[in-house]
Amino acid sequence: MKKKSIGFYLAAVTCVLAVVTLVLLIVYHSRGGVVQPAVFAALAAAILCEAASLLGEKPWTDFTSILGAVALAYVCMTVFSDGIWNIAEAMNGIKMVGLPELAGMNYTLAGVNVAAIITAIAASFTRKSKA
Amino acid sequence: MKHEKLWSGLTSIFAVLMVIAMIGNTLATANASYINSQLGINTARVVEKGTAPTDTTYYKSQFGAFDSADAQAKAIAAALEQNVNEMREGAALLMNKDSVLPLKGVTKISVFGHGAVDPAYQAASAGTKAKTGSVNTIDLKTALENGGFQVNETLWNGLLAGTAARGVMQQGWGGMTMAVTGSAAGSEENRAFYEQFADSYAEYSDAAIVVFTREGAEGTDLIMQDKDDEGGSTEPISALALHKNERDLLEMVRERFGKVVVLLNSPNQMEVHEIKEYADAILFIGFPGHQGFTGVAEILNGTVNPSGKLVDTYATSSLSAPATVNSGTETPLFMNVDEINNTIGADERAEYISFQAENIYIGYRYYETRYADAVMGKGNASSNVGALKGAESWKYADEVQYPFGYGLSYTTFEQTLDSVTVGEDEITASVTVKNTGDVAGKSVVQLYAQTPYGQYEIDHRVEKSAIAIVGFGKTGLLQPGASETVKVTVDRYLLASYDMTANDGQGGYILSEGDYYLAIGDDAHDALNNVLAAQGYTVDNGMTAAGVSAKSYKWTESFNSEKYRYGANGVAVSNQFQDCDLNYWVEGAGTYLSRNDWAGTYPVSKTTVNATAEMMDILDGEWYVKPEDAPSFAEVAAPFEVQSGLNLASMKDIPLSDRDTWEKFIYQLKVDDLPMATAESFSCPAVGELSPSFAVGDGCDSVGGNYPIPVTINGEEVTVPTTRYCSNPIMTGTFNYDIIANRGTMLGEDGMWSKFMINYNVGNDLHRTPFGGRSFEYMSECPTMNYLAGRAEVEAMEKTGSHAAPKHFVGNDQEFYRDGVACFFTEQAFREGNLRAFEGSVRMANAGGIMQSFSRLGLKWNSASYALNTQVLRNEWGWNGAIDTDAAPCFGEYVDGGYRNHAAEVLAAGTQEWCLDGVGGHGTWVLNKARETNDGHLLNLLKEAAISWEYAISRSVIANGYSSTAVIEHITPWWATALNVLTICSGVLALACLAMLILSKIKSRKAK
Repeated sequence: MKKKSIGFYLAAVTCVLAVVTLVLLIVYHSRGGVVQPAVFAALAAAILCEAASLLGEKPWTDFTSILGAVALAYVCMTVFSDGIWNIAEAMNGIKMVGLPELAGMNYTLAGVNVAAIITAIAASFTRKSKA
Repeated sequence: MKHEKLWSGLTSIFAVLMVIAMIGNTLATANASYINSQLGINTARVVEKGTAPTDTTYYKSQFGAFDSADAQAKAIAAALEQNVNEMREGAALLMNKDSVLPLKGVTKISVFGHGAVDPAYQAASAGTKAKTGSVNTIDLKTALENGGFQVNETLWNGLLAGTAARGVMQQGWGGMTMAVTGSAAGSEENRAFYEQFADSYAEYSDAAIVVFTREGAEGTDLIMQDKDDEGGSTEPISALALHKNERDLLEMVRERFGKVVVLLNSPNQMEVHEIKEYADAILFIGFPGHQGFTGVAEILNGTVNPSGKLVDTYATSSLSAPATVNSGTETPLFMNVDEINNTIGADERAEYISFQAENIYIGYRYYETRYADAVMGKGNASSNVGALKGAESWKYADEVQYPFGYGLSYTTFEQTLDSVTVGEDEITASVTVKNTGDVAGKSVVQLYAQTPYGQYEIDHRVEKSAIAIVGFGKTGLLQPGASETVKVTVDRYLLASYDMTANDGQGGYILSEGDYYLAIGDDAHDALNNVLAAQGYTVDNGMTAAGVSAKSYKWTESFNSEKYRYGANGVAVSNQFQDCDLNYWVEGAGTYLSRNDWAGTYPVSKTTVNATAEMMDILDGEWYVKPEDAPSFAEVAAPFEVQSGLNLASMKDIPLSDRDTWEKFIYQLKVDDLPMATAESFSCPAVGELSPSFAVGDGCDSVGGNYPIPVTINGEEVTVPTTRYCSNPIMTGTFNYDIIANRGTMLGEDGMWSKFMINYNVGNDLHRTPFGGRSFEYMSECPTMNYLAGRAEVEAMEKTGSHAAPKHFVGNDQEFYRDGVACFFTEQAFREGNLRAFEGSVRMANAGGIMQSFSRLGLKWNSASYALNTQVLRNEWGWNGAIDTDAAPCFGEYVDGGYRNHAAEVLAAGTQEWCLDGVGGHGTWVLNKARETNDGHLLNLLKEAAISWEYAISRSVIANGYSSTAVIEHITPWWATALNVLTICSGVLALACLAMLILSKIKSRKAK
């Protein structure tokens, strides 16, 4: 435990945020929100990559960190993109082709996802265990 | 190691940035039309290749040049004046006990009601938004103060700090709240709130003004089974009924003020019977738009004498309208909805069914017809079926508070029916109006007709309204004692009824045999009483008042099924919508209301069915089959890409009948350009080199654009939005063709100044029930009223350079569950109701386009109905405008499937543009399908769509600036370049950092 560095904790936080994102996405999808299968795959990849960082500093840790951050960015942008009408209609108080009642979830998802991306990037700048 | 982490981190940053830029770029490209319209970017410019052109401003503003600030100021002033004039002449005074209005000598007033400080200037939907404090908006307090009133500041400020809000506030994820409109619960402060300011009332007690608001929205109807306020009824109540806090407020105000005036800030018909108990005066003001409150204040202070009339029936119970049983928030599901979803997929949106049991009996056509039959003792009209709860029999006086056409004045008028001339095609009535009071004012002449309902009609199930408006006119300002003669001309077509059995079962319009009556009246009920009087009925027969037979005119017609048998170009008008009758699919599934038996046919419960396999097959939406005689793709594609030297300027005077020239024009395109002519969005893309990108207007009661020249207000440079006019029921309620036509003119001006080719903004749908979330956008409950008003508005708008496109064609009369709701009806009800409501705008006034509806006609989406879009619009009506879907967005790649995405079927039905598809995704898919299946028929349809679209463009302000030697150059918007650069740079940097990371790792390994 003593060997764990800040990068470990950042990766752990990222991992937790990615899992929270996954849970939110499942709820979002069950309520009619559009989530492409590739998004779930990317999120799973992100969780695995960040979880791998928890094993400590390995030769491949830097690459999994990068991959995790990229996967999270993909998830964030794709969900936001697919939910753009939810937000647009909620802002205008109308119901047309989106699900404005899900706009709140879109904001929440974006918030959690952005936080995960930031911690993932920060984690990739830092060591996962002390030398 | 240190460097490895640096490169690792930097790689992450740039790779993340690249992903964001890439997906952002895709998102932005898909929404390019919106971004460009918001940023004011035009993606094409006109370049003159010849000698200096002469004047190429083919479509001019009546106010001057489009680059003149002075002309713009005049245009804005004229638009705002129109807005105020609509309220001056459209607000309807419903009650004026002891002539409490005008408030002469009254200066110090208290204004109550959350709606006073938070009025609905309009409801949430497309178009310009007016709100308190926004440019050009005049709020109620300012209007009242400008009108000479002193407003109780303590109360006003208290209301501003209040917590009441329209609709239910929902707690969303992430703490977000979203207002769901449609409920009236919680929309008013409670009595305790108002008691806080009681000390201020004495000083401002000359009069109390109480504002009540009801507001639906696009996608949201008013709720039929609403909650009451806290402490109120535990049973559901209508959202249009008085809620507890409102009742308490009225009670308190009545106790403390000598004069109580209620303003109905609602385009939907509130249930006013309780308000009448407390108020001295009630003024219907609908939604005021930017400056309608000025007109309200002028009516209150007497500067203006009200002359507006209701265009809807105000029933005691809004739920007594037979249409409420199967619509709005009470729309039933198909019984086997799960099976439907499992069979055809939930994305086909085939869950809800709206059986239009009311038949032709919408609004006054129900209440007045039932009244007539009750008086005549026919059709079990007095039965208590459909009567108010607990009533032993149906009584008009109990059922209706204010009839269609009702509205008081500060003076009195006497109307005399001088003469009626029945011609072959038209009927002309001459009416003399005399101001018999002591105040100047305007009077509306309302002309109604009754056509025979005899044994033929009973046997052939041809329903008849006992009274229907067929024409109207309005006097100028008549001084006391002055007279004016008003001539009202009626198209005899409006007296015809659609008979599904006529012409040996082919169907068609008939003129019934028997006695016809024309009558004038102060409203629909008064006119009917005049007819009944002429027929020998009196109050002894149960009439609410004695009629005046001299105000009616009778003549006789013989049966005629030939006169209106043929439409445009000799095309026979015949049954097209038999499959929209539910009984066509499931025998005996639904009963339509008939005046032959009110008790036996009034809908007392919801109608729904199990959709059969055959029905599901059609609900699935895929029916297109390549015609056997379809030409090959190559055959149709062969003439393309041949330059003829024709451009927009060359085409602006070429009629559509000159097919050769239009085809030569279109053949300059590549076939791959054709889908761009099917793309309608915030900003429509250029079509090859033929026409540039341009924006369109959207939103009834406004066009949603901006004036081009910024103005300085209070030292700040601002962009002025186009005007939000009064809600349509106010405009229609003026019963003044000049005002209605000038609305069209000003909308056209607004469109031209905003450089809009076309405007989807003339709301012709019916107020099928009082609960419609977009009643504010639609004209009235009466199809003939919409026919007459729509025609006047669109004719005027089409004279400008910005087209009118009525919407939502056709039958968009509910907002809840509107996506794909399967509507079933009789062909007579559809043709004399929904279609008639649009016929004035589309067929008679030749609108430049239409926007369709989300609903289904029977089992087919409106946009995919060949019967509607080709048989009726093109063949029967001979109309050539552009047919656009309602929103069917496509962002990037189109995926076939889902009820808005059956592109081949939609195009084959006659629809030509897809709304919110700025990338031409639907059209591109059709083109690819045509190519893959060697289907020249589909390619031909794309060509026809391009002709239609370019024809509309060539007759619009978009053609301004083109000479016959001008060409179009395309421009890439700056944001697209920026996003591309960002994507490339971040990608290169990510790769470079990744390379450095790998090198560092190699170095590090070597060092070890």
